[in-house]
Amino acid sequence: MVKREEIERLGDLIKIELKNPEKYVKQVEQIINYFERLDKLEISSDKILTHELTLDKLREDKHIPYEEKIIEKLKHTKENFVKAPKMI
Amino acid sequence: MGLEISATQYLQQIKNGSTSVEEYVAKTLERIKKVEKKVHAFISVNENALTQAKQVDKKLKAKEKVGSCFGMPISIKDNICTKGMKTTCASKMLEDFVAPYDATVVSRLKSQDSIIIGKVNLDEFAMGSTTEFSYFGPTKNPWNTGYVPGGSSGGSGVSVSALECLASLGSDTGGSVRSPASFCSVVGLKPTYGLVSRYGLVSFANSIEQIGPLARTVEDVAFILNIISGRDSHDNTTLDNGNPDYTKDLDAGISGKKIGIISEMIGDGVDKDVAAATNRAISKLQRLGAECIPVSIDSAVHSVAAYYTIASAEASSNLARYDNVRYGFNFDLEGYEFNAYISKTRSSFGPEVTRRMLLGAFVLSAGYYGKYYLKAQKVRSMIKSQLDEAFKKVDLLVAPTMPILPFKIGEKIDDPLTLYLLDINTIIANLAGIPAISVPYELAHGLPIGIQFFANAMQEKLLLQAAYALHKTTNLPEVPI
Repeated sequence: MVKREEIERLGDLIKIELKNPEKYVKQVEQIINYFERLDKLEISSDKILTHELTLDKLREDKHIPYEEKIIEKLKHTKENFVKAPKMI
Repeated sequence: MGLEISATQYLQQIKNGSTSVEEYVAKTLERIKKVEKKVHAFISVNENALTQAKQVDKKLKAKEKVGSCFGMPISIKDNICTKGMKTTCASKMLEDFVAPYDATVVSRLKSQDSIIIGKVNLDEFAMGSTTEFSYFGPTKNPWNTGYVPGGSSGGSGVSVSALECLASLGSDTGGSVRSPASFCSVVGLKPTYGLVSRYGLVSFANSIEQIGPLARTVEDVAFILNIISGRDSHDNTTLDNGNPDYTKDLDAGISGKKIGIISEMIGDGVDKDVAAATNRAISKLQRLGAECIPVSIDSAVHSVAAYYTIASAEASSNLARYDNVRYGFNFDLEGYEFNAYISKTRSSFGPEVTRRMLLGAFVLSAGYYGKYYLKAQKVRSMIKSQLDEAFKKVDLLVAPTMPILPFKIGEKIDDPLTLYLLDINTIIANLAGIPAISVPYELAHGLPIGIQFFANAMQEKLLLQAAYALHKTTNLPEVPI
């Protein structure tokens, strides 16, 4: 059973202000109930599929000069700094 | 109109001089202007397309070296970065984001003198199966504009189907290329994981997604795959495929090939018109000399639960970067404490993106990780093992791409689980990293039905040969728009 408090806690975790948490309670519960089938599965193997990445194909570790256009689309800047909301 | 040609036919026409790039691109832009009101496939159209077309014509006239696309107009899903053009991911969060670089697939197409005709619609951040979850509004199916075009690469499927371009690039995380290909009656390929570079694809679920081409014919899809596939130093997951020519030997036929019919995908829950069309396709494959036998991949029944657990978990982590500080829309900082500001602006995410992040945070929470996420990873491994076993006995697998026909816009929008379950036939390819292709096969009640083939990893050549053989037997009408 998924409760409203649980959805609100998750909303805090993913940093989204939920305008209508109630709307998600039923839907998330329905989907989690469907996921229950995973918990019920008996799988003896511990094998997990991973993509093997080797380190021999890495590109050269080269400095790429900074370009103005990286920050020109930012909404809040001052000189070359990004303005962020107040932390303390 | 002259637009009802394949990309391959376009190349012939340009090479033999029966049309110019400018003429074709101008007609394409006119077509876009005419049908966009009805289908809404594009988020933005390239304003410089005509100038670029003239430049290719100039090179042709001066007998300079011209890239293999010869000015071919191609649309790009709007979650693939294009330098100097917006890449919105159909989200308010990126409503005016312009990437400072091209994705590898885009730079490769441009280096072959293709023309990026525009950026096409998708479900926000590619999360959805109908293209209804776009911040810019839904895309409509050109076969019946009251119906969904599939998704999430709905704009890609529709732009090709409605003759607004010759090919498109989409991305396929759980079926997002094949679903619109099936619903819009075009060919759509999801390549082997690692065959195509994801550099410049806005991440949603990195371990399963791939960029893939959509086009009118199998040959066209093979042509685009030639250009976009292969090793890329910007994406360490890419594989060295030795750069084969995928368009070569497409007509090799399927005589003597063994094709497994996936039992779990043609039984319960499959629409009767879709099942009947699939059975007719199987008979056709037999007449073409293939041996078709039933094959069971019983772990596939758990694929939807495993997929949505893994994809949501990866999504909740990937989308954490959208804090409206580095990316975002204009929203005043004053009066907000740091976390409150981020939470407030992130409430602009649409309902499906929010739902997936809630689910992702849930399955990764302490106490639940072993129940869901770890189990999902084990199911994924089980699916891969069963497919490996199957490919010891058969060369290819076949199933309908979508279990049902296209449905009305709005019909399932408030029922997320029902929408998730529609991915049941496509997801195994993503979880196992194998290639799959959807081929337009029939129409029922004026709505398209696609047939899907799967092959083992890196067996794109074989996959394309089978798709080509089946597609050649069809004679489908032109789109009624």
